[in-house]
Amino acid sequence: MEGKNNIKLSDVENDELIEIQKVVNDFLNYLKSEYENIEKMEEERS
Amino acid sequence: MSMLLKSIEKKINIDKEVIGVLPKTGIKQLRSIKKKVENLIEKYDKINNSVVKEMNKRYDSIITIKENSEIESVKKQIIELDNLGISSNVPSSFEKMGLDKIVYNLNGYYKKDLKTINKEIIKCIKKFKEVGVPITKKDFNISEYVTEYMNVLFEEASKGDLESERIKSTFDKVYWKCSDIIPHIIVNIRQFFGIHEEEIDMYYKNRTEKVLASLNLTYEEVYNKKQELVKKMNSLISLDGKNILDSFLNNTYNVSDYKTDNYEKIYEKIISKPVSELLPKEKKDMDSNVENLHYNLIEYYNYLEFKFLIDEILKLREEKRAEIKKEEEEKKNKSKDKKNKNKNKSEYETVKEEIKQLNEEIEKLNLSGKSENTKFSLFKKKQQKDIDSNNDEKILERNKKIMQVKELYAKFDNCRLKESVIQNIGDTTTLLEVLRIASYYYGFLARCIIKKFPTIVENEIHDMIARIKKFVRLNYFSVINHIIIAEKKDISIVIKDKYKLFGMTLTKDNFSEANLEELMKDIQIIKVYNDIIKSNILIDDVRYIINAKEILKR
Repeated sequence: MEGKNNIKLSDVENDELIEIQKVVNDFLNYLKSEYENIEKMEEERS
Repeated sequence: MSMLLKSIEKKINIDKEVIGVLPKTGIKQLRSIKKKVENLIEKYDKINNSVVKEMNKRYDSIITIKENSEIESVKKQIIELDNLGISSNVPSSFEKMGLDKIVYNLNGYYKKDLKTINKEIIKCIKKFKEVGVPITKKDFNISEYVTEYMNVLFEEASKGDLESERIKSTFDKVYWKCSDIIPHIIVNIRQFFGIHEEEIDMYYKNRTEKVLASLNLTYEEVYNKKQELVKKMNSLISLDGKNILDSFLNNTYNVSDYKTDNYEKIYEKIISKPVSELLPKEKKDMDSNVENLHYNLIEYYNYLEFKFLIDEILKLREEKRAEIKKEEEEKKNKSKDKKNKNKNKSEYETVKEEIKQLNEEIEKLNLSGKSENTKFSLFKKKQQKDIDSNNDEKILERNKKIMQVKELYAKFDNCRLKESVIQNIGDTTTLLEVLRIASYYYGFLARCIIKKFPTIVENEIHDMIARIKKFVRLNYFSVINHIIIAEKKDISIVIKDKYKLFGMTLTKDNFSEANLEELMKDIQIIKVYNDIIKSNILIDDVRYIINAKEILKR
């Protein structure tokens, strides 16, 4: 995975790598919860 | 923060916004958003996998750090020196054989199960074999009860079954005939030791001489060599990345303590000025002082833990000195009275003689009333159901004497210890040497520990004794090995004054019971921080492992 300026994951500092993982993980959890909500709404309306 | 984190956060914000603004009123719209969210989950899962993969890669590269191979080699040398089988002249062969520990354990038989008791007896049998004086079942002959039980125990032990039904039923049978069976065994062992003490002394003397000659070293030189190796090992471990990392992983150190600002704050507290004001040479010297203080504090802390033993030994010394003074006065007064020979003997000699006399009486009683010259004719007659009341009385008398001699042996141990204390401790003896002498006497240690900690349980006593022995045997000392008992110095002041001379702001209060651990922690943080800088691991790597470990569930 590379950023806009071609920064590789292997180039980032340890602390930042952990921070990236936390940010991505939080967003993934948000998306999964959104998905469940949409599914519920879909069931209610169908 | 690099562009990568910023760029990811930016993408996330955009994607989040897109999902947020999309209409969710109709079923078609919901299905469309669902598809969109599905795609995003897939996309961010891939990103997450790449990140976790990179994290694992870094984790593996750090966690697989190898310990400096020299550490193992130095450890091996220390163990070899420790297991040479050479012994000090201070303890007697009784302690060298570990019989003091065995007798202590057997004395507390009422707190233990039969299997444990039997293990102790077997251990004792092995010890006698080891020193070249094997004790056989024939030697367990102080009473018919001991003979009956030990015959079975020897047979069953040779089959490797210390829990056999035969042992249990024999013990049960013998116990109801004589509930003092274990004290009888103890006295039997002590008698056997007494008979062979000189041979056993020779065994230890010859073994020590042989080993020292092969090494071309004296006892003190071996001890000093071991001390130097312990110092070297401590230093190697302190600077070893693997050991440093392990100390963080097992929570000995806390990664949040090892931030530069915390280090500087503590340093300032210790020297009363910002560390940045120290010139490079001054900083180097101060780091070295901090390192020495760290080891001194650990030594002092351990000393405080075991000080009660030094106090007890010194109390015994005072008692013995008073006894000697009294004996000398009595000798003077009674020198004209030549008939009163016994009164001129020391308590040690008197008790030793009383034991000898009682043992002879026990022997006589065992041999009495018989036709053939073998032991336990009393017992044999009983077996033959030719019971005569005279023999019963003799058995009772003998049993009484066995219990009396058992008490005398306990008294004798105390006298032996006092003799050793008076012979080996002078005004110029160091605190370490006093503690070392205490460490040789298992029964004494156990009694002192129980006195100090009345609620302590058996296992904790054994563990504490093991720690005391290890402390005096496998440590590098630089404080209590220099302080002699006559000086009656407060060690905390000695340490404080030394480091004040080197520019540290230490007060007596830092060494108080309430503050000592805090001082130790502060000094440790400075020392370990410096060690990490000199080591083959970065604090950043340590912090990464601690944080990533939780995320990666490793």
